[in-house]
Amino acid sequence: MQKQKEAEKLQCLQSAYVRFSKRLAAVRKDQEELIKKYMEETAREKLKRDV
Amino acid sequence: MNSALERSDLKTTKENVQKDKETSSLLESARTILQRALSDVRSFFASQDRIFQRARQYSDSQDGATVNSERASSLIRNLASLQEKAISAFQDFRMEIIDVLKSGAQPIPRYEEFVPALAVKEILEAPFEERGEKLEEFKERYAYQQERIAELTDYVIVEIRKNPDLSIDAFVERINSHLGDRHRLNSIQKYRFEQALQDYKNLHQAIKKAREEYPKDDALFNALFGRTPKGPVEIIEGPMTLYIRAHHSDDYALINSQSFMEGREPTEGELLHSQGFCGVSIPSSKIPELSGVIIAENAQGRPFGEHEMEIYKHEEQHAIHRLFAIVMESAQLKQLEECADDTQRERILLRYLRQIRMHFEERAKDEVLAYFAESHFSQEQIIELLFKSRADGGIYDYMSGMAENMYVLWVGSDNPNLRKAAALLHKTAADVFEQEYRELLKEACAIYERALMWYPPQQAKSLFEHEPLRKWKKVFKRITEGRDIRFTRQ
Repeated sequence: MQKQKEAEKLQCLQSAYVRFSKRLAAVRKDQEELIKKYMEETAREKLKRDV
Repeated sequence: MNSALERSDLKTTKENVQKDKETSSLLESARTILQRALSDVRSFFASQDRIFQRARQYSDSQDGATVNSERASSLIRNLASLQEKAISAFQDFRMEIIDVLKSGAQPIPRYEEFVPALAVKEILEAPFEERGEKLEEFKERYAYQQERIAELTDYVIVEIRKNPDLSIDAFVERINSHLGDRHRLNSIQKYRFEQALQDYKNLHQAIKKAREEYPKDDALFNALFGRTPKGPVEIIEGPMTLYIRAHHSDDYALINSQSFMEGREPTEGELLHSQGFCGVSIPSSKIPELSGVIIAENAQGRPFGEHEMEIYKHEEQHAIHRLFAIVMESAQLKQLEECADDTQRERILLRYLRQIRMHFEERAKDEVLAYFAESHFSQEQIIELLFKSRADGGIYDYMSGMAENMYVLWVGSDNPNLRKAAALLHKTAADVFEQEYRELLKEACAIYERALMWYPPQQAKSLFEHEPLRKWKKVFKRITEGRDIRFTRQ
């Protein structure tokens, strides 16, 4: 019984980590989007200035 | 040679050592997982720095000189907000780990909103092969949320009885300090809960006001039902109920039949029908603010003794539960509210009541196992004990009054579909809460008794204690089939 409970808790710890990883991955994705947008804007501005 | 006592001590010590090992291995796992998460966050932070440097270099190469200051500060702000999100994810995760270590699994994480109706939609929209897993997760989360709401309501009942005049803010504060955020209500439920507290306050104030206006029981009876009582009446004021002990059969029938709402006396038929009831909870009143607070007892000259006090408390509890029932959000209830089709309504109602019953099946299962553990109870005696109605002194009649409560709530609802469902309620509830439930218990008891012929009691208990009653037949079939195969091979 005790063993089963511990196994359940361990599984919960792992599921919590999976959920955390997913959230962090979403933040990373936002980060990538942000930097992509920043570079695009900078390039556009440069182009505008050059023209 | 070791004495029995020493042997038992040795066994306990070994067990404790084993337990400590398991606990420390769990702590070790938690530490490892936390460290891994921390290193993930650190690596994210490092990547933020790198990205910013890269952006600066890129910008320099494009601009030839400096970074556009406005765009750069906006980038810094956005990166900072992402850092906050990462920190918050880590903090939630850390709290979740602590929750698991402290009290076991909490199926709904702190930061997630579990809205049953939306979760059902998500299951239906998921690819077919993922639905099973999602459904299992849904069931676990749903049961968890319902249990917490029940815990919350029970706590509120105790607090209301102790401090009926407490302000809403004070109530919420007490609830928070008692339960913390363990309740995991979603925002709709939180809103409904506060609404229910507000409704309670309104009812409580209305009762106090009516009492002040009509301090004498006869005068209050007259105000509530449109005529003075024919016999003696006692009106007991509760935090949100008016408990009316009517000693004259005409007075009780007037309330039981609600004929006062039509401004008439009960008919002969209604009079006879009312005599079959000990008490009733009605949704109406001549004073509109007091609708839903009236509970009447067919007292017939009996004094207000211990038994009557029990009925009163029980009925009052129903009234409070009824008020907070709106917090419970059920996917099926939502479907019932939206369903305009008569045939479908019947099917949804059936599913809804079965879902409610499932919660009580778990409690009944514990009782079945406990009674079988005491070997002097036969299958028939156990069934009889579990089925004795509350009115006859039964203590396992979990669903007593539930259909009646729902009926009162639905029949007075603004939703026409719910009002139509109310008309089907008594028959469907009799099927699900009585007939089907009795058959299920009978079958489970019969199976358990058969299992006891195959296995020693402890082993039989272990086989069934983690399975719901409705699966016992399948479990038994599976294990005995396995045995048959083994016997054939031998």
